[in-house]
Amino acid sequence: MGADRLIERLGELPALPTVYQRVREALTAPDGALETAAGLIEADPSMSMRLLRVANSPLYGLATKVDTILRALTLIGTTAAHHLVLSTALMTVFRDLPLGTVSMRSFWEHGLACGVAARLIARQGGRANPEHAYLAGLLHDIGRLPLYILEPLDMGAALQAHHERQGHLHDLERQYLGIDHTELGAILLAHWQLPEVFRSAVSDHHAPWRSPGSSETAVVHVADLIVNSLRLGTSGTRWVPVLDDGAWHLTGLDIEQLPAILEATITTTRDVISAFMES
Amino acid sequence: MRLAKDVHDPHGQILIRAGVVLGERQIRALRSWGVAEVAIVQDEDAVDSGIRDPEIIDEIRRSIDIQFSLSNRDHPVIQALQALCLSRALDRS
Repeated sequence: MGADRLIERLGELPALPTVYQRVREALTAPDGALETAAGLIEADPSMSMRLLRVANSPLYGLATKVDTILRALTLIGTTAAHHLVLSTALMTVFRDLPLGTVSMRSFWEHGLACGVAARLIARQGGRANPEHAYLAGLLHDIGRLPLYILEPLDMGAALQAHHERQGHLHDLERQYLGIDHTELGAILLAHWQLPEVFRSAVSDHHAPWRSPGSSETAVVHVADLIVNSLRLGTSGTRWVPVLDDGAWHLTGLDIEQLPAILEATITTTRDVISAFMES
Repeated sequence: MRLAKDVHDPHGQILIRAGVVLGERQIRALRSWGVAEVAIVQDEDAVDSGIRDPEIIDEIRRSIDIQFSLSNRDHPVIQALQALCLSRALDRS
């Protein structure tokens, strides 16, 4: 199947839940009504339960346990609240679909670990917005979902070639499917109306030189490399990618900071993944 | 020695959980975060997890080498990452 046909079929993927769309509208309204957003979330018991579990996880490091949605949204702020609702919605919608040889839990563990690492790098390096870095990291491989779900045979062949060390998976995706997950991911994010900062990070995380000066893209590039080194979950990649020197310098990190970033990424990811994925 | 209490960064994020056995790698990480003191409990049951079997060490080294084989291993950051991953793999085995 050609790339164009694959793009046309993106509509076959599950839609983001209505509650997310409405919460997003409430949060981005000029008056940014947290009360309205909280009311919408509370009308969805499953979303409420999962969101509270994640809000109380080490991901946000709240000083005291929160037991109401409004309190959680107030404490983490509007931007983080929007990202939390989006990530909760995505992991719920794409939780039980088969991905062939990659488990959905492992896929999201990789995304979450990359988000956690990206946020740590942004905080330590001081160049990128930590909350933007977190969501960009979480979503960086989202374009692999349509490849696995809509094109299991060709994606399986690309994965097999990658496991035989014939090349990096994103290059093999282009070879076998005519398109790679970075391009598809950027299309999905545009469809979900997410801002350019996220689309650039997703489309260029394997080629950060295409987004010169984008700290978020650079941070996600480095975070992805760290998480693939640690093998915290996987979206299919088995071998560590190539590091772009320009992106490394753009993060503002020193090599001496790597051990601490690795430790904190491992600890937080393990503590948080169940909060997102359990029913 | 074992960590008695969670260690947090200034944002409240947990860096290392209580109960973790503190090895050289964890202590290095804590230092790089600027953490000078932590509460520890003496771990009477702690055993030396260092690997002594050279065959196992070689096998782990080979596996990590293959994992990094498509990366740019001449870059100091990649070299540091590979060393850290090797250290973790040896600690866990």
